[in-house]
Amino acid sequence: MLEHAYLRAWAEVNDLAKALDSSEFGRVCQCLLALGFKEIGYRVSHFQYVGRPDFIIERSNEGYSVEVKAPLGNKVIIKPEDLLGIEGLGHNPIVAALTYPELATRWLIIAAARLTPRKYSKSELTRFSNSIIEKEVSNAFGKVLVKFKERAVTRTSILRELLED
Amino acid sequence: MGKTSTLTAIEWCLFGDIAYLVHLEGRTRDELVNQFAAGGMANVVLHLSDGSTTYEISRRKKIGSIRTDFKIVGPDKEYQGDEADQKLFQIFKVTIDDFIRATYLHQESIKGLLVEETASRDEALDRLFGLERIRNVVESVPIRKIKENVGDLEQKKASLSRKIEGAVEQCQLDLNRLQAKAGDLGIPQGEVTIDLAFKISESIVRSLESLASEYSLQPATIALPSDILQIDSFERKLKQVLRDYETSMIGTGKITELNSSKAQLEGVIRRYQENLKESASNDTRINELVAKYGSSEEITSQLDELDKRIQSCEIQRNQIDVSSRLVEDAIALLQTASGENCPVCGHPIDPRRILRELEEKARRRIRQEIITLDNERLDLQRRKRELDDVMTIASRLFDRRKAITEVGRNILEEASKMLGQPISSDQDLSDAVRERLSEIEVQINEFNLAYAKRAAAFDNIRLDLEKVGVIGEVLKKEDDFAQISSHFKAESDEIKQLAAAIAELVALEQQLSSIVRVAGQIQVGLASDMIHVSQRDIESNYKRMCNHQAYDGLKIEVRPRDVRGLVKNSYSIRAYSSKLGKETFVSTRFSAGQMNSVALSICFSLTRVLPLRLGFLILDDPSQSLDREHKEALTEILKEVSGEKQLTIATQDEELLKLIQSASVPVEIFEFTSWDTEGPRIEER
Repeated sequence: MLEHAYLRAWAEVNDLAKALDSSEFGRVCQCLLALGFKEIGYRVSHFQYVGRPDFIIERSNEGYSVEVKAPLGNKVIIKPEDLLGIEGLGHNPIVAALTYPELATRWLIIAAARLTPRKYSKSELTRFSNSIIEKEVSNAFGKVLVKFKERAVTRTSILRELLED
Repeated sequence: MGKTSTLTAIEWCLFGDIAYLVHLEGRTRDELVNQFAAGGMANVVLHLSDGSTTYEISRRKKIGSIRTDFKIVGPDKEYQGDEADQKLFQIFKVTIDDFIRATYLHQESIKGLLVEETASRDEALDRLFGLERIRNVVESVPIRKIKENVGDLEQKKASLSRKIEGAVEQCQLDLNRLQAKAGDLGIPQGEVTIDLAFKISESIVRSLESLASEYSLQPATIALPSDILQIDSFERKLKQVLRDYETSMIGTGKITELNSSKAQLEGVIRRYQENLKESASNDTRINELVAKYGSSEEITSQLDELDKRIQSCEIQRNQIDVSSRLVEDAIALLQTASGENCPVCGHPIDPRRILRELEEKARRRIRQEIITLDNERLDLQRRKRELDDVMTIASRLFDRRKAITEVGRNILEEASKMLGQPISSDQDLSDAVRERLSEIEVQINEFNLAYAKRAAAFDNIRLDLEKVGVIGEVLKKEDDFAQISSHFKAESDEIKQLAAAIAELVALEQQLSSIVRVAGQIQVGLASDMIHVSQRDIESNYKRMCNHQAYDGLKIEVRPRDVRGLVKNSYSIRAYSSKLGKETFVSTRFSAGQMNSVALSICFSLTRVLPLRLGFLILDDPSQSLDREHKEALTEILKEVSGEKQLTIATQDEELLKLIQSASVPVEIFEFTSWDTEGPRIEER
């Protein structure tokens, strides 16, 4: 059934998608996802808009190097460099894919080892996702969206500053 | 200097406020108090008399204090504070606004009528007509603010509606896509039901069972879905079973083996045929050599013969060399001999002649023989080399023939092993391979048929599974669709509240608009009445005061003007020529003096027609910008008014004073005699 939190996230992300161009949308979503991880206790130890990994997060004795995929369409293209760029860094390499425009908007969290370089449909990716982290971070993402969406639309640079706080 | 301040003191004494000095800061009105006076106190005393009764009216105020002490001392009683205010109203029956309008012809009133800026002039005329209260009421109606609020609320409501509509739209898009997919799979739109999904699921399970039975596969236990939520899991499990079945039953080893055997046999045939072809080509070259040079024995014999002939040539050459040396020796001898006899025959000889002949003959013959022999030898050697080359090539060709034969033998051996039967000839090979390939083709066809049958069974199950999946997705999406409004309940409630608030504000705006409209009509009506009543008097005053050569008449018109939703009076003061039928706005064509005359004409008329009349009129510097001619006209009017009212004129215009005095108007003159820290001293002249 359609989860309330995910539908609320859809409404907020939909506003972002309408207000921003696709590349800006990707950057904002990347930042909001990092803030979502921060919300649930991860430390964002590395963050960049250009290059790979997109960010690295650590909590207790677990750590992930993350490649973020937030295209506006229904397909996600995984390139060889996407996977290579997050491997061998001493953290678990994961790909985070945003399911928007699906109404149940959430982040799929997929171990890079489960993917090969090719084009995936977002619905196809759902079966690879780690449902526990997916739920945890997606709920946090919803809260972060409500908190920071307006600022994300008017002044995207502020999100980056929030990460550094 | 100080004229206006003195008149202002009168106004403040009577009403405790000053109408035109709106720029005064703060509520204490400390600007009224002389900062240099000891005690910092403002104190004004007026004596008001109607001929029989005299009142002393006084007001005091200390600097820094809002409060003023107002007192009226009458013939029989003293009044203070509120009582004094009430008494003053009893005496005057005017408010400060009426006083300003009808009694105190303030410089600001006149200035207001003269400005070019329409809004200021309209305000000044409204004040003169006593309409500023209505104007203030109209201006204080917050229609614009309400409209802005309505706009803000509408925007907020639209934003919330868009949120819901966006979700509905996206859901509809997804639903349309899924329904189209269901249609592509042959499910009509009306039949996308959970019952159909259950029915197809049962059919899938039955097909799977028969598949397992037919191909002796491990039967799979799969629970049928009992609601939409179980469809996903049913689909996932079934796909896994299908994958397992495929792996176990449709082994590709056999077909791979057959195809491999076929390819190997075809390869053997191809290699054998290529070998035969190469053999034929080799033999052709051998035959060509034999045809041209003979057999190898014949070539060997030719080579032996050539060797012998070359040897013979060399012997002959050696012999020539011996003869040649003899001749050379003889010539050498002859060269040393002189006049001797021949050693052979003993006859005397002529050595020189003999020597010449010998040299000639011997050298010619020997050279010829050597050349002939050398040429022959060279030719023989060339032929020998050619035959040597032919022998080398022939040897290689024979070696190649042996190798080709060996390869052919090996291929036949390989084929024997592959076919499991002895193969000793081309024919054997060709027959055996053809037979085997035919058998393999039959097996491949059989396999393909079986494979197609199995694949069709799997495809049918997969297609049905896809149908179940799509039905599940459509039904889930329909469920999402139904849930959207409940998910957005907070927004829906807010939209309802906003709609109600907007409706209330719109109704309020309409009501206020009605009030404003009516107030506007009243304003215009009152102003029109006032103008109508005073128009003749204004025109009469104008003609006397201004005496304009071209424009002999003056008219004031009023019409309503919409200013951002508020209705305000808009006045036009125009002078016209009754003879030429032309007219002009006085503010744009008249000089300052002429405009001052126009303003005074209007003000004097209004003091007459306004219902509230006091026995005095205060004029603040009325002759500003007037030339002598206009001052004379003003004097005439002042003389006329002085018959009705006491006139108090603040002026420094001595010319006007003389004109008034010469017009036999009784005048009492007070003047500023000195200034000190207590302020100006005013004494009767």
